Amino acid sequence: MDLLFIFEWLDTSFLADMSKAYGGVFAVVQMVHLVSLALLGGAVLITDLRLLGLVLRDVPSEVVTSNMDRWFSLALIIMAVSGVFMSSAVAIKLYYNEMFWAKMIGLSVGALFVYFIKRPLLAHPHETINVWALRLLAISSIVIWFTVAASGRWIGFS
Amino acid sequence: MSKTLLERLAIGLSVLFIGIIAIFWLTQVGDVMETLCLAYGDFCFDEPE
Repeated sequence: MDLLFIFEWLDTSFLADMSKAYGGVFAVVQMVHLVSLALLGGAVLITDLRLLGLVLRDVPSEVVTSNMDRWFSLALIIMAVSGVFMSSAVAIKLYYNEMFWAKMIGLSVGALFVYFIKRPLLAHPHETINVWALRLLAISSIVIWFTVAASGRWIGFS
Repeated sequence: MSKTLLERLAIGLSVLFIGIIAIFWLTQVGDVMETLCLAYGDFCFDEPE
């Protein structure tokens, strides 16, 4: 399915007018986007390193996971909203950028994985879950979100 | 979904994602090194021009 029409619409939208006309607004939104990325990365690392038994070993992993879940979701929402605004400034360029699509695929897969596999599984008592399922879940989560962040950075280079 | 099914999905999809992402970054190694060389002067095989 060709999604170019969405990017063409975004390129001529009010958001694009604002992001292109006011560099200061774009910079502030970019800062919010990066702070959210740091928050999301922190939540992912704390959750997954605890599942691997590498940090916070004196705190039950159920407690760490449930506390980090809300920060993860908050960061994801802020990143998505600020990301749409930032995309509007260079919408057509992004459509033809393969790293942008790598990031979008990673982001979609990561979010679906978290909400449909990881969270439902971690809702069970962690000591009853297959230890390899927990370890692989944590490693794949770190790898997926690292790829999302790294490919996002790569958009600026390509 | 049952816990057993979720565990199997978690293991299978994790292995799949890690494999796909490893292949993805391996295919990007050349571009990544070239970009880091041009942008920062790191990971250069030769001196940047």
